[in-house]
Amino acid sequence: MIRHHPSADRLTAFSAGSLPLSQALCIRVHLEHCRQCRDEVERMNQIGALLLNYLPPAPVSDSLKAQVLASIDAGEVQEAPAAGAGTAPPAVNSSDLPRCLQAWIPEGFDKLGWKRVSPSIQAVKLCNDVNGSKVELLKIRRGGKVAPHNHTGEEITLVLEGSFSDSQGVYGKGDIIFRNRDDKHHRPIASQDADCICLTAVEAPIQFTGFFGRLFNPFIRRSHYAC
Amino acid sequence: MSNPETPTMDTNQLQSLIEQVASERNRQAFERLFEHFAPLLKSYSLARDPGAHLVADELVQEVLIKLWNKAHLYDPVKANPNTWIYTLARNCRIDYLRRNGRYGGDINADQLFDTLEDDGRSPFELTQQKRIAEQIHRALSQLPVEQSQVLAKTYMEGKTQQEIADELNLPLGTVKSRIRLALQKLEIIIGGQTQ
Ligand SMILES: [Zn+2]
Repeated sequence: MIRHHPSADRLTAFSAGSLPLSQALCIRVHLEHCRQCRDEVERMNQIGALLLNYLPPAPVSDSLKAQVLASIDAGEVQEAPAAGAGTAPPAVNSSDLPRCLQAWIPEGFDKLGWKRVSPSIQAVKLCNDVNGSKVELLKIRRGGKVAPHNHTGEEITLVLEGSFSDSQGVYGKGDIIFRNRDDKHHRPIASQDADCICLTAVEAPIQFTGFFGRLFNPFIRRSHYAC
Repeated sequence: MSNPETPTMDTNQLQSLIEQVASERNRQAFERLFEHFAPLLKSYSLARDPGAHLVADELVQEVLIKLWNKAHLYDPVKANPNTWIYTLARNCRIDYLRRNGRYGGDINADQLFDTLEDDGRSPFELTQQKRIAEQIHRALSQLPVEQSQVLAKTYMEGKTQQEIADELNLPLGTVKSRIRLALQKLEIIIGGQTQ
């Protein structure tokens, strides 16, 4: 049961294509889990379609039309129907891994090159965004604690496996959590029954606050928040 | 926002043209789709980058070629033709910006925005969806200008909430609440989400 959803204005930005891609990716994963938000985005896409129809038509030259017709006639842009988007995901993937992440995780979480960040945390970087965000997978060992930290920018977390909690709640599969500089001393703890795997997009390095946190800080920055 | 113009083609006509492109590779049908959509798509691109006519032509070209190539994937039961074209255009725009360094990383728009189809929707749900679409259509033209302006800047100009706030000289919270009010009027939000 998903209890933490993106706000409506974020979903609008997703639907309009105006979100940074790292954020859009986290929201997309949530959508794969959440029927309610999927329906909302579908209705938001209809707003886009209507607004497109209300635009004043701009004149299009005949040569542009001729060019497009020439390309389709030349057949150079043909693509085999079976290879198009919207076809079923590869059969190898029997897991319920979100479709938009499969390219990065072709053989499941276990086969990824996890890097140890602290005794209870491992991480794998997936990609960077031009706004400076890093998209990573984090694995927190069952019962493991993340050192208390503050945020210098926005941090988005989406639970893929297991669950964790912090002072504000408990988060399970599909839940999406937004944290920013107003959230002080954020201290997630994974539940006891299973390792917790999260997708995160971090806009700027987080700052660890406790004694051990300060100890870890340079190391964590170097090992994944800064590379 | 201008009043919804009497469309030169209605939904059913557009639907059947797309189907002719898919099943018969019908070039005349494609030309009619070009004539209908190209001026709107060009306008969509110019809304974001006024004056960038070459970029706009490129977007028109890409979307129409996609339409030709993907017509067989279009499912009239799941999406209205206009909504389908809108999503193609949005994805092309994101990919264009990504190629030009405005967005980064190894994420492409189709990977992010490919259809999240819900199989097994009941006929009841489909009818309800149609009803909601009509309701959005009606309500959109009745929104207060300040709300429709924020929606237009988000969807057509592709601006972030912060960019809109800066441009209109408004607090970010006001932009967010205008979007939310608009969505409430359009009866799009179900839950009271706060994050
Ligand atoms: Zn949701």
